Amino acid sequence: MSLPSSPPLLPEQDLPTLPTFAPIASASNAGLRALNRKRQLSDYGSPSSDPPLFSDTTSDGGDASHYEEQPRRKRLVRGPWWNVGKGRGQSLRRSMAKTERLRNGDSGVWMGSDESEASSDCLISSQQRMQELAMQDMADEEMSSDETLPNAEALAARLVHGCVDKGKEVVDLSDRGLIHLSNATLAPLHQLIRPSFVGVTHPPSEDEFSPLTPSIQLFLSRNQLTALPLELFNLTNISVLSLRNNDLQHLSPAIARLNKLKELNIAGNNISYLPWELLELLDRRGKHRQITVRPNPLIEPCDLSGPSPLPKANFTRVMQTEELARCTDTRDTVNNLRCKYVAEQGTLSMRGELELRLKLGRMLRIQYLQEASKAGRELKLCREELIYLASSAVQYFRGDGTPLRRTGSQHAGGEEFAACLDPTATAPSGSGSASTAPSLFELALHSLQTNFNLQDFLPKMSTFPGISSSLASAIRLAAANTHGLGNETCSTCGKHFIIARAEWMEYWFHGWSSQRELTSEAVLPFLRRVCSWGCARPSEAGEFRC
Amino acid sequence: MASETDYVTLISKDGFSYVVQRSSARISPVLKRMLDPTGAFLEAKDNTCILQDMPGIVLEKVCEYFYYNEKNKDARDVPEMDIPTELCLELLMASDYLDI
Repeated sequence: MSLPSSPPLLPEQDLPTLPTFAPIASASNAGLRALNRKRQLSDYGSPSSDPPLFSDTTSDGGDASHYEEQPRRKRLVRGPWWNVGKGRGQSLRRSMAKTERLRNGDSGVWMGSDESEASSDCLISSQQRMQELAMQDMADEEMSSDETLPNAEALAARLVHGCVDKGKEVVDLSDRGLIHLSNATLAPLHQLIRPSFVGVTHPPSEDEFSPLTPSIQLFLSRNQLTALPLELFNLTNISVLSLRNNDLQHLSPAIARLNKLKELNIAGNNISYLPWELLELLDRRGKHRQITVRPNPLIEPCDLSGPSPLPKANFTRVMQTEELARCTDTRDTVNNLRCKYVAEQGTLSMRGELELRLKLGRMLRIQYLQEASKAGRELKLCREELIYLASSAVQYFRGDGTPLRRTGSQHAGGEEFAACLDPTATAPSGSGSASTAPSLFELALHSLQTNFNLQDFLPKMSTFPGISSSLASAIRLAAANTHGLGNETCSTCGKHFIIARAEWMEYWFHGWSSQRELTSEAVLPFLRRVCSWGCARPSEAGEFRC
Repeated sequence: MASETDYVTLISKDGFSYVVQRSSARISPVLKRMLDPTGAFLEAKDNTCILQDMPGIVLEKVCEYFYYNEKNKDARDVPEMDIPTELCLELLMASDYLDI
């Protein structure tokens, strides 16, 4: 038995084919209909009456006679039925009233839409309308952001939004005249995902299945930034960060959080020293990183201009292999060299001392590599050497963060961070001075920081009796840490601390092994801060990183 | 009477007295100066310090810290000392005063 099985018409189908499909002609259909008196789905011209077309009786021939004579003319009306005759509502109603006696107004029969083109028109027009609305929304948003942000930054925020919308990983905010960059501007980058593979010209490849985690390339070069927003250090997906030609005074230790960083450029700023954490970034074994630091007004351990004070002959003699092979007495060799030099030429300048230490570090490094290769370990080497040269005198702080008076006055008037031979000479004496235990001040401050909302407490602080200025500043620092980048990390033991107990500058050689003499370009200063006096242990001469 | 004893007495505002090792108490520069036998302070004579600003419960924590510090002087992984929440501001001021 044949059921009315013609499928619902797709709106794309052509109009002329329709009448032949009309199921009314079939006799079996008629019988069926008589039985169940139900209209089948296929009785309707289309699956639904959604494309709102319906018939409207013509109103011109209002008379009954006219109506009988002429074949009924139907007019297709586009749009929902309640809109019919909106323009000429008055006349329609009148004509309806006229015909009411004869015909009971509307026939009440809904005719499906036959005209598929009309429906698609409808769709297109509604889509256009939606787009227009969306455009309006966007315009509104931009207007509102214009009001809250200064001009250059509003532009930057728009660019960032654009990158997030398109899934663009290269965020180029360079040369925008930015003076300040707020957290809100960079925060949308957290939502950035790598666009999935969409190219139709290529066959699908492995790339299509790569993770959607982006590797953001953020360019902030050639602006006038003096500080970086804290949010920047939370964007751990940054792989390239360019801060070239800004007005930064220092680089935050939080830079170490960007552990996917492959390229960092801080050239052309006002940076005089680097955070200790950057040394760890420079020395991440196996990972190739390109970190451009110069030009910057970095401080120098001592005067490094001019030729090396050490005689050249000495140098080549030391580098001979048979001496290198003797692993144990490398330090002795260098000591002998030093003694020899002192005997021959008088006192050794700081410059000469640094050169000797560089040699020592190089020899120890080569020894280490030889041993490693003998043991069959695979080493991934940095192309540049990283060798400790010297440190400045350690500056000790009291528990509340005020500097301890220096016992020795050899640096009075001199440069604060000049290299010295005995960095811990000014260490406080007495029992417990080398303790690694945190101070009670630090413990209590940490407890205060974790248990109370210090932001609320700060305004009331002045009403408390007995809060000294150093205590107040310590509490302010603790409050700033909670809302900022968190507490600092001790560069010796890795513990977090609020109040540093000591700090000093360490100078490391960062350059090629082919470089024979020290130049100021190859020496980088790193500021180390530690949690306790016991942790104030500068690196030893000859220390190196591979 | 000015002999240097092994233990010193710390007395709080509300009259609680704590007897602690001199070596432990000397980590506070303030107490060290007070108890210095070569100095002329009255505290050095009696080996007793009266801390006018400190309530007993705070001084108790301070004494606990003296021993905590003594114990963990050279330790590698120093455990955190437990600081009661309600005392931390007072302890902060006490440690600021004692410079520890």
